[in-house]
Amino acid sequence: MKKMLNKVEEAVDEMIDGFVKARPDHVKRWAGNPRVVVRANQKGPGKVGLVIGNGSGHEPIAVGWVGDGMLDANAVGDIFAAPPPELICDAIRAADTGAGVLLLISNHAGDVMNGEAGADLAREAGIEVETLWMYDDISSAPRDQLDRRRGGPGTTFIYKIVGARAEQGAGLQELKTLGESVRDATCTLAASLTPGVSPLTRLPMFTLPENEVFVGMGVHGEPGVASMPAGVADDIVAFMAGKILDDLPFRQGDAVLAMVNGMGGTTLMELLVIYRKFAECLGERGVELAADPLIGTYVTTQEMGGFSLSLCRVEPSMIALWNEPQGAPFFAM
Amino acid sequence: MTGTMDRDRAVDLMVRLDRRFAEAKDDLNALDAAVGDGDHGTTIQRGMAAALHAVQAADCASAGAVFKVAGDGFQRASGGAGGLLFAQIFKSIGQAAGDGDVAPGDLAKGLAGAKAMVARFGRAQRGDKTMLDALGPAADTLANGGDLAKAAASAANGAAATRDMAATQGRARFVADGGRGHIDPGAQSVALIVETLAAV
Repeated sequence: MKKMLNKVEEAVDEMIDGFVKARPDHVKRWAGNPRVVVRANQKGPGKVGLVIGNGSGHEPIAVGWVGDGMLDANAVGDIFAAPPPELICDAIRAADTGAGVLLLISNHAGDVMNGEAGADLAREAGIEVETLWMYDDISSAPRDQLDRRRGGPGTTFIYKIVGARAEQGAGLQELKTLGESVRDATCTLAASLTPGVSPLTRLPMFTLPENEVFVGMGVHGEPGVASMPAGVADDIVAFMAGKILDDLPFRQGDAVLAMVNGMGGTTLMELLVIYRKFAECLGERGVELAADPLIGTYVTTQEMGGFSLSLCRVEPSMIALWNEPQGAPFFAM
Repeated sequence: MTGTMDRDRAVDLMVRLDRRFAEAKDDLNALDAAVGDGDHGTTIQRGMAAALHAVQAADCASAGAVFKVAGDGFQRASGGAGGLLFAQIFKSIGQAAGDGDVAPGDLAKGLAGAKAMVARFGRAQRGDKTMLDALGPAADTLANGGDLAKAAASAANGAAATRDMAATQGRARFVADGGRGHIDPGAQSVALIVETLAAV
């Protein structure tokens, strides 16, 4: 299938070329490794570094989220492949100002293995590193096995809230604890309509029946937990919202942050139609939005058609951090 | 392979593995499409090409060094869970051989070491429908005094047996019925590696 790429092996490096050329005031390549993207104006001593390594192909996450109040460095892996430990270690080095580094790890097998191995390499080099496993996808494991859940779009709440607190000068342990609190109060559920096309194989990454929507599908097309007839958006959204609200569970009076994420091939028109019903379901449950919802295309799998709904129950201190300004080039609030 | 593997044979092995995985890439991608995201063949091929490139650039002094350099090159280039896990096979054999030739005992020790590393990193056990279901039988065959031809047969049988298993780790665990009915591409790749080792 068609893609606007040159040689696929060079696509990731060319993407980074374009990014640093487009936003030279915000980001640059780290001198020590061309696959590490850092802020143009790196912070001085005392700031805990916030880092993640991830496979490419899901932009704007995570490379587009390097910036003030968000990530200090991103290890940019190959397409859909977690970066190897050496690359993650380089990103940790790039972000270290002497105050330690919090390495975010989205809970997928390759990310965990390479991330923990990369953190070990950095520790051997004398850098203080903590890892924060991020997971939120309620379809991937039951609530009593939280740490078997996958990382999904709801991890966005962690980047923003922990990022803002790191900017204020909080220490490594406090940031890790804060990240865990946000994570454990976040639930996400996704639904897929059409597959994305892998740049590597130029083939659709999975197949779906024409008239069905799969609820609970992962960012790599891991099949879901329920299939529903495509057609009426409200029915699907109401079903998904109910699952999310019941999972934590969210109760009347809870203050929440909400997110409707498009996976690449779902339009803003659709996302707003989805949000309309999602908001109605939240209202019926009596949970209250603590800030404007995030609605847009944040975590993608190429041109995959689909969306996710996320909720995070927040304390007042988290809301203040959420509302702090940030300057990541492709994180639009 | 019979007897001891010297530097030139180790380099020849990397040439053959690179060629073998270039041939097998599409088939492995197709296996992966059934249980994952369809790029396992591409991942391993990219790792193998980088391993060979690193070996050819390094001018290694020994067979053991060839394996170590190949493992590092593979790990840096391949990425993902597969990159880290498959690199252990080469690194572990290299570690067992040290700076000398690769003796049959080194292969046995190397595969046993790789088996342990993969189980630890991947948090997998035999029967979980992973590469361990081919690597484990191959390592055990060598540990019990079997030769490489027997180990290759064990690995091939182990890979074939993954067809009836349900996955508990990695992406495949999210596929309907844990991907039962499909061979695990990682196990298939291990079988190809041991088969090529036996033939060199």
